[in-house]
Amino acid sequence: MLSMKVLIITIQFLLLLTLSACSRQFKIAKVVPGKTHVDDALKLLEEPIYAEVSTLQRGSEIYIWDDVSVQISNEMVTAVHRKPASHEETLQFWHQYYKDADKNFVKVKNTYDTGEELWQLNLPHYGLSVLYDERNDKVLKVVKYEIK
Amino acid sequence: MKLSKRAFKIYFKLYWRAVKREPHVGIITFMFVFTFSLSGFMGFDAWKNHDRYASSTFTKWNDFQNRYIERNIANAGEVCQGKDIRFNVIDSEIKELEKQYETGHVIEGNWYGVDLKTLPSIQAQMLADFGHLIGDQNKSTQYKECSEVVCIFNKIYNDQSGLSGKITYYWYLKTGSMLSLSNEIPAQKSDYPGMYNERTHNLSDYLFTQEELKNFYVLAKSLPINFLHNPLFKSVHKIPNNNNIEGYDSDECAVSRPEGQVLVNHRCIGSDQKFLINITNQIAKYIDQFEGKKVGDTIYSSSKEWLDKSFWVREGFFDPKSKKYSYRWLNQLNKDHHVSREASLSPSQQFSQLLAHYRFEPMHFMSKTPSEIGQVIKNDFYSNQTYDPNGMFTQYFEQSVKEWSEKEVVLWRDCMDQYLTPETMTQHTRDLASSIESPLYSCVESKIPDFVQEVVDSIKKNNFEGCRFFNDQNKYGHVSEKYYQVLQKFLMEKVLQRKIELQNHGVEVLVGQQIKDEFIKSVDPTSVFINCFNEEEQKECYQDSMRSELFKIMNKHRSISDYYREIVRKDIAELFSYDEIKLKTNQIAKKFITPFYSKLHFGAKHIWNKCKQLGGNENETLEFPLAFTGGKNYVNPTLLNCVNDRMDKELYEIVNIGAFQELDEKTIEFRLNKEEKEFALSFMRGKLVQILNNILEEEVKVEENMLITRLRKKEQFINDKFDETGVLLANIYSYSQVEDKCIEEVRSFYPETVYYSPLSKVDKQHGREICSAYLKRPKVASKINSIFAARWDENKKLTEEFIDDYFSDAVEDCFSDFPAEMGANYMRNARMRKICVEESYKEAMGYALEEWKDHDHHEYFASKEDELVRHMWGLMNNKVTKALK
Repeated sequence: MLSMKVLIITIQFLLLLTLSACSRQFKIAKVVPGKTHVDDALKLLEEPIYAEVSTLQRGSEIYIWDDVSVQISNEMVTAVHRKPASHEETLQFWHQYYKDADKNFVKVKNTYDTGEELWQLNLPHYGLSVLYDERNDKVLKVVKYEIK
Repeated sequence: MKLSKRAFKIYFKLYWRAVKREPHVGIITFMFVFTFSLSGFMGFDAWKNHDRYASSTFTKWNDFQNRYIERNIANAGEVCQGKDIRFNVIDSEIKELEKQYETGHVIEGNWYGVDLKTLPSIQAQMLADFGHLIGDQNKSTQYKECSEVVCIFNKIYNDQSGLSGKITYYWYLKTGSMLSLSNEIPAQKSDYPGMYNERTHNLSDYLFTQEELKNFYVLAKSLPINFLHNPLFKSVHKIPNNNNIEGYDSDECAVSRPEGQVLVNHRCIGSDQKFLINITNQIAKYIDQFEGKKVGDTIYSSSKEWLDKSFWVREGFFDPKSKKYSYRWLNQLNKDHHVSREASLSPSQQFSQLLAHYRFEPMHFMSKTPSEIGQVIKNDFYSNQTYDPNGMFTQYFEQSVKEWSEKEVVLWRDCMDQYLTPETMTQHTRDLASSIESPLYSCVESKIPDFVQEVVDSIKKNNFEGCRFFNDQNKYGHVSEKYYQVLQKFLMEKVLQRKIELQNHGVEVLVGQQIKDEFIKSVDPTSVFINCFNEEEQKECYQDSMRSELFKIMNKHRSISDYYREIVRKDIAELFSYDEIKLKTNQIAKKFITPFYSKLHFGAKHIWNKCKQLGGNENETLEFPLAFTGGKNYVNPTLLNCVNDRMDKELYEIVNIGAFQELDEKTIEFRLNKEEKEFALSFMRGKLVQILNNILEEEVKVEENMLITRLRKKEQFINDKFDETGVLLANIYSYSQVEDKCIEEVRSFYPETVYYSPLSKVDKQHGREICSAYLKRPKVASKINSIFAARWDENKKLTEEFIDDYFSDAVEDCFSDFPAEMGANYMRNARMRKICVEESYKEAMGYALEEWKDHDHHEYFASKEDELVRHMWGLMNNKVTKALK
């Protein structure tokens, strides 16, 4: 009897976790680059772990959460960086899924050698950019930006 | 005799009757006869092959190797040679290393005239793995006269002394990687070997000089054991002098490619110290990658653990305008806390620089590196070893203690054989118990100076700083003196300890030594380690198995007390510690899996060819997860699914293959047991993925070139006859429509399946180009223009029809509303009728425009709407006048 109770509680707990995880994904999806204001983004995603002024682009800020980072310019969201889902971790997934789309695949160049081999797969018609780490053979992050 | 014959007849008749009545009697008889014959055959076969015996495994290979060494290794003599490498020394080192890989397997095939079967298996393996990195890639030079790889290398180096070839082979044996002897640099821009940075170079420009090779020799001896045989590090390539590495600035010293190749600029390997630091720095990048896979499938230096310890944060930014991602690493450490400028640039650079400096600039390392980071490098990557004078002392002393643990048994055994026999054992035991002046002890003590000399020679031979430690009095004098004193004291204590034990425990000590001796001879710790490799609690499994092996031996010697059992157990545990053998994992893997590697190459090619035969369907769904992902290349999903599907099957087939080898007129069969198969598989899967990646890289290049060649050639056929039937220009309304139709036609020139580009990409890169060229041909262009002009006319006419449909009805209404009858309203009606007809025309225009927009062909003329409207206005006067008449 007791074990049945434990099982039910565990299932309920797992369901709750799944639901909360899903709702988080929905909230992230609601942050649309070029359309969402910074205040709305903060309402949706709650307080970030930290926020910083970008040293790479004057006038831009980056708000950072565990699972997502949001780039802000002129109080509007300009790009959303998120970790790939498990099925998105290989670059092959992106090659196949967007096989007919216009895309370009370029090496991320740095002013100095970081010892890394990063590549960027751009899908301009979808407002997506995928960052791929060749040494690990893994997609590092997916960036969503405004299509103009 | 008569009776027995009769009895036989009676029994046979009874039996025959039983067979007829009960069919199962017949079946039983048949089974019996069958089994009997089979046993007979097997017995005959066993008798015929009485000298062939089957045995499992890696242990058997070890046995084979041990016997191989006894027949081959020569004495090296004096060991301190500095950079003046003596031939007898390097020869003996090569022999010693070579025998480690000699499993007796044979590799079939021929490499530029060299029969691989005739080479020692490791040499054949080297040619099979790295044959493409040897020699001028523009020529097909034959090496028939060479019966070993060193000869091939020396021919390429054109080295009369023969040393260059020996060092190259030594480097391979020691590290598992290759010093390139080819004029092709990985990922070079030019398709032609010998062409780099748009300049032509001789093969010799790509070869390391003898001085540089000597540095590689020194480096091979200096690298810690866990740096060797890293499966991710494959080769080192020299960039021709006065060239920068393509795609990099001129001050870039060296680059380590994700595919495992290190590219080195000659300027950065000038001085000895620079050489050691720079090359180790590159090799360390692969350690970073390899160790990262263990902690969580990432590069170690980008793991949270390292980033937190070394205070790194990556700041990334995506520029929505340029669509470019940029990033940089921010570090909170003071610049003074980095061992070099490069180390302050990124966590990856910092990590590899730290590993290199820890080994070759230990004092500088210690003065710069924060202690917490230093501890990680020391504990996790250098097994607590340090390379300052005191660290050297500790290392060498520990090596000597270990050496003593192994040799002690042999030493005592030799003396016991000399002074004790089973018959006199009891008498002598009593003597030993009462005196410390027994000849047995004097014998052991007399052997100590030889042992010390032997161990010092071994240190000098196998350690980079070994000779300096004993010969450089200024730098190491104080510690080398301490080493002799402490070692002498330790050895005397050990002998004394045994003396006391002998006095206290008598014969037990002798039995203990015997047990230890038996254990060393009969138990192979490598094999035990392999058997535990895939266990969750690897360490516990190893220790338990070793203990159980020891107990098996102890149980044969029941006279030994629990107290002494424990002493022996501790001795053995120290002698074959888990931590030490774990460090050698890569070496062990290389050693034992080598015979399978050539089969892996064949296996990978076999998989690829078989899968390509299936053709390719772009729309097939990819089956995740993928063991082989295709890296950064697009791969047709049919091919990729098939390759992943077949990988495991192929691997299992390879490890299930047994091999036979003749030794001492006996045929030995090598076959892996379950645990050994699992050990082999855990390394081979990664290796297979690597080989598949290499095949893919090659295939992508070949397919790209093939497409270019094939479609460039086909362009010639796209002449006036290309559209003889006129299909292409039938029913066309726009340029893009013709282009699309043309691409459809051009696709017939594509190969049946394109594996490494989606069809849309081939269209974009090749089809569109060809069609554009075709459609721009003057004749074709003028034909298309005239068709388009006719289509435009048709379109205008169609619009006119729409106007007429509406306008004629409207005109009728105008005439009925404002009749043209003579009377008082005649003039007014005439004026109103005109206005009504004019307005009706305008309405008809609106109506026609709407109809036109709904028409199927609207999309082709939509851009010409303004022109059409102007045309309709142009018709107005004429239409209105005509209507009013």
